[in-house]
Amino acid sequence: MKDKNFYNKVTELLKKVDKPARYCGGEFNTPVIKENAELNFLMCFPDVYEVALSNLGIKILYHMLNALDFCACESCFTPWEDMGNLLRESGLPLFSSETRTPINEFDIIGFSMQYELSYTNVLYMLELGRIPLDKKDRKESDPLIIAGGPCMINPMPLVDFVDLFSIGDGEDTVTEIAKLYRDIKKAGGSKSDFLKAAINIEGVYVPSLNEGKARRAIVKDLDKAFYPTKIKIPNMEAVHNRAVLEIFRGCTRGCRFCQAGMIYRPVRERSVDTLVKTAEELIYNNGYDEISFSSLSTCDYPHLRELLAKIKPITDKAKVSISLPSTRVDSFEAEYTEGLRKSSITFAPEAGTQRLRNVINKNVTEEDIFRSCTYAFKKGYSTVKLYFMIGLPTETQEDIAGIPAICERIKKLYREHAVAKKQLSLGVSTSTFVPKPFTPFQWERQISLEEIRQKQDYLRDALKKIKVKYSWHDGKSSRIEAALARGGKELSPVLKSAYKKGCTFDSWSEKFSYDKWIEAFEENGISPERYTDGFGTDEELSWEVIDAGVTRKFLLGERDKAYKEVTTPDCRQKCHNCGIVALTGTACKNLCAAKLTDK
Amino acid sequence: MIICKYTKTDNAVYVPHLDLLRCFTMAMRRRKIEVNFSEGYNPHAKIYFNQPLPIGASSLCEYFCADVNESADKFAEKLNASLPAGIVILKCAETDVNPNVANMMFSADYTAEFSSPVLKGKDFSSLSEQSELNITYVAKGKEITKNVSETVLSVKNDDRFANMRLRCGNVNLRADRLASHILKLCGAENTPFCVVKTAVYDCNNVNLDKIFFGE
Repeated sequence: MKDKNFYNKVTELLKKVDKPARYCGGEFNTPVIKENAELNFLMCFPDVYEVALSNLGIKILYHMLNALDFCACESCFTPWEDMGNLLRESGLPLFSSETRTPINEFDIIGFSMQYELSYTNVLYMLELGRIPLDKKDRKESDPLIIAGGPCMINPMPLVDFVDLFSIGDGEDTVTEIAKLYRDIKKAGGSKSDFLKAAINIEGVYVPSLNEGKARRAIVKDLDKAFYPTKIKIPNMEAVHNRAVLEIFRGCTRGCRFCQAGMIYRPVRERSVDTLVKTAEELIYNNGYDEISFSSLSTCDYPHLRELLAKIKPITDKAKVSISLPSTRVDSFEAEYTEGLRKSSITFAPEAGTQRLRNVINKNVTEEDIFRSCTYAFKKGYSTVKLYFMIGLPTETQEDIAGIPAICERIKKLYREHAVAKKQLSLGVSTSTFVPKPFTPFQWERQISLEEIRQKQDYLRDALKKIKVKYSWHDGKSSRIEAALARGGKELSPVLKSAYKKGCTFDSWSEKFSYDKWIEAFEENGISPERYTDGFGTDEELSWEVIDAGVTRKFLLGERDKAYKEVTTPDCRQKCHNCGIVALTGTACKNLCAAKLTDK
Repeated sequence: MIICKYTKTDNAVYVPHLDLLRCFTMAMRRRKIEVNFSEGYNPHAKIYFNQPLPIGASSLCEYFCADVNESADKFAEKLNASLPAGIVILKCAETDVNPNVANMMFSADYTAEFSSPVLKGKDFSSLSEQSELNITYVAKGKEITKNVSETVLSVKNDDRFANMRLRCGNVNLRADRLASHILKLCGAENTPFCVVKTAVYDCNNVNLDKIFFGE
């Protein structure tokens, strides 16, 4: 597969680009890429190298595919514009990182879609790889394009470009896709033969071929699921440069804005023994100085104390630090971080008042926040970061005013309890609420640009007065994100227009162009407001071609409770019949091995 | 304390300097090599490197010093089993103190290999004798012209190879810049070439290998 001449031409390009380490390959722990494999798979991530290699999903699938004896899996990430321009000028196609093979020579190209604003990068990569953008224009010899990842819970905006979608957990689905493709290729079948057969695989959605809804795939037993412990070590610093230990998947909290909390149901935990063994392997196979416990809500792991007690001696010996991200305010216990470096604590109350937190079902009280802060200040912490959302359903000025009020209380607590001799560093960050499919707020409107600006202006002034740092997420990109998140297949031409106008790397603030996106919508006679103004509950929603597990009835019920400001308790306390049991065929508590009740 | 000589070739030439440091500390952790750490708020492994190579340049003679609890032989053996392609420990020796390679480095030998015999019939040895040698290169998007005469110590060439001894350390010249200048003088600017660093000397013109390893 490796063409020496092409390889050398790429070497010449590497001398001319910024950060050639992004493209050169040769990372430590790169698996041996099988020559003459029956299936050549290319794992793509529509963002730059250092972002891509921080993503756990592609690490799992990449190493899993290479562990299959018939499959050679390589990787390719979006080239930054300097490399993109050089490829165009030199007439060379985009290539894989490992063997520098042109991407159009692979059997299957899989894209991992983690955020909506990376969609145009898929088109950018296809074009650089000389693969026709529209699937209808592709030949039999072109690769099959597949896409998975959380955003593909609504695959519709990408239907013109993607042949097959993998919905939900990828481990089993992608393995089955690989086996089926190998078999059909061996038997001399066509891509069309493959697609017709693939719709029988759990989690596969092929537009126009699936009859009925495509069911989200769920890996029931994470202890048995593939988890790589020899990870490709990036050549240059990745965004998250650490070993990642996924302790469980799913979340039982039921926050009504949170898509991940709905589409990763049910909670599936790894056992302590598996995690300890995996952690030790991760440390000594890779050599990272930090290991991060990954999940949607780490402190909800019922055996966290036991896990920490067993892992701490291993990490101490290897001088490796443990980080606990996604720690909720109410479950934050500074004892977990006893003995660790006192850096900063981060809380995400999401809303400024208890009323609004009840609406969004963020079952956290101000007392929880203040108790945690007091404890942390007594332990020597001096930096607090707070995350909020603006534009949540039913939000009023009082809710916004609640944000500086919380900050003032925290400042007072610091004066009373701090042991650190530093000044308190308190920062607030806000993002704009983006209604997402398969959440109780999937029908809600998103606030207008004008409203976003007003709320941000108010907070900037109010927080400046009390000397609290304030950062905010650009409202314009949130508007486009909302449109793409809830868009239908009519958005494929809009995506293409936006790309043709030069939109790539839309999640990078310096690259995002709202004006070009608006022009792309106008060019196709579509108003973005159609997606941001909200949907009627009697409308059929474009993403309802997918069965995500949670039922419409449950989501409507949660929405109703939101308007009544009534909370829904954690699933660990009581089952709320969200519908997931019908999809898994097993009660949630069985998937968690009775762990739902023994916390 | 152990002083090591290592290579940086193949794809490793694109690895930035700070990531190279990380690559060694990770390799040591993988092989359970005990490194001594600095004291203080943010302890770091006591590993000391020479000055960074430009990205894209190959070298057969890079040096670092590490404060580890291992014999020199074992250290090299263990580490070589855990380094990415292109990075190989060539020599190791025990030393009482950190010799501070970065300060010792005065000059280095480089070989530029051109893809075709563009230097045929030309002799560039006089480049080291000129009192003024202006070269032009692009750095951070800006075109810069600089007199580099005091950094070029010797140049010898045949049809396809140019061997250059250049100053390194605080006063230095990137070998690829001189190689590009030579190509310009030949009217063959677009000829692909690669540069390899082959030896490093102290201010008395003694090879660092002789100082550290007695060879």
